[in-house]
Amino acid sequence: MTNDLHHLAAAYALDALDDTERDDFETHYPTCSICSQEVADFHVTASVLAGSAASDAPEHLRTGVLTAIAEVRQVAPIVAPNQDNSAVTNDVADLARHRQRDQRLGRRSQWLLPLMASAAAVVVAVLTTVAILDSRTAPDSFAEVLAAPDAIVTTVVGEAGALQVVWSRDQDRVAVFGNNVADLDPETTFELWFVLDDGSVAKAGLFQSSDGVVRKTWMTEDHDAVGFGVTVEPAGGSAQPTSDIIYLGDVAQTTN
Amino acid sequence: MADVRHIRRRRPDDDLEAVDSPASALRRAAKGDEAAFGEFYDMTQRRIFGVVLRVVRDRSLAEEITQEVYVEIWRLAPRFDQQRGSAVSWATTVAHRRAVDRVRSEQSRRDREDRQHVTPVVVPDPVGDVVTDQLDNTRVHSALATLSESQREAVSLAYFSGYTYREVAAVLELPEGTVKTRIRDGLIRLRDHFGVTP
Repeated sequence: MTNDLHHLAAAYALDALDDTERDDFETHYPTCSICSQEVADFHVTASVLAGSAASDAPEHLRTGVLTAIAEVRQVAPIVAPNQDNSAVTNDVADLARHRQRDQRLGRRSQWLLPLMASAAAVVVAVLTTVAILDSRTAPDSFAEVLAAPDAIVTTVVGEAGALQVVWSRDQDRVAVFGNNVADLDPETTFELWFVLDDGSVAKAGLFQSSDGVVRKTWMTEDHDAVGFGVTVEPAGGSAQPTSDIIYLGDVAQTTN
Repeated sequence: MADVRHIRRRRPDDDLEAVDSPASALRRAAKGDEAAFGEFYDMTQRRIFGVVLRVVRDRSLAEEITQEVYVEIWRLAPRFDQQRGSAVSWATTVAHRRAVDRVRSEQSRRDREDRQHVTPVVVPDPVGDVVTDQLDNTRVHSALATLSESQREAVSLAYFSGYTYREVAAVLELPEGTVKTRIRDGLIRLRDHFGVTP
């Protein structure tokens, strides 16, 4: 069944799944980088195909649409959070707290690691190689967040492709990984943002790619995030985004 | 500020830089600019109305759905810029899905009303018929020509008739797995032909 899901991207993009399969697939594909890429590509393909059916709408429809939208409120854009001058002090306090927790987790990881919890089993299966590779440079932390029972995998997508964000609230950790990412020049950095329910964002941390590869995990503040976004910021990061969001994805809703 | 253009570019349908691209119009519409949304409408209405009409067949229903689609796009526009892919592709996806959902709910209502007609009687409606009487379709036409007849048929029934692949299988009297494979292979071929993959 799960195996089957990987082959449904084409039918999904053509809206050719029944409701049950569509639901199943919509639960699956955001967590699967291959399927999300296929869905994005097939949607564009379908859209080109749609051009072959092109047909002028009647003139009055334009008036109808423009009249209708005048009465429809647009959703809130994703904006920077309010100026918060306590941010800097918070950062320092958090850093201290996180250092302590890092040490605690470092000790725990010896027994935590074998507990490849079922919730993350799929991710772990896919990413075992990644975790092993990463564990050489950042002992255990990458594998640990992947193995967290509450880990949620979010695929953030943009023009440039996709990244995976693994988030464990229990561990206050985020891991980001991706391939084929365009490397930035040294004066800039990628910055990950929690996207909150009201459309505002909160900083989640910085990461870089090296030869197109991103592998990073770190401690974060806790937020009721509904999504993740990524911007490019000056080296050292920003307290709020100073450029357009280039990757964005919704956090899957969990039932626990 | 760093040049991020190189990582946010490139989709076949809309050039983010061009002032008069659908993506650019939609971005301005996202700031509440109704006139810009009018431009976006003008640039996309043929495709959007066309695909909705193809799926639902009924003109007045197609008009109603098209209007709903544009209102939805207007509403969500502020979130679009950061979202995936091309503005045209996004709008088409919204439109097609809404059209298909409408057709299906209508179909299931009729099925309930009329138990005798469990399977819809359909006339396969190959894309090729329509392609020939369109102006800017050389691209689609030559792409479709690379598909096998059976792939073309399966893709067309799924997309333009709004059937599930199971319904396509029933119509063509083929195993579901076969149809699924044909749709997938056909779409992969189109995708590669259109140069969609980065």
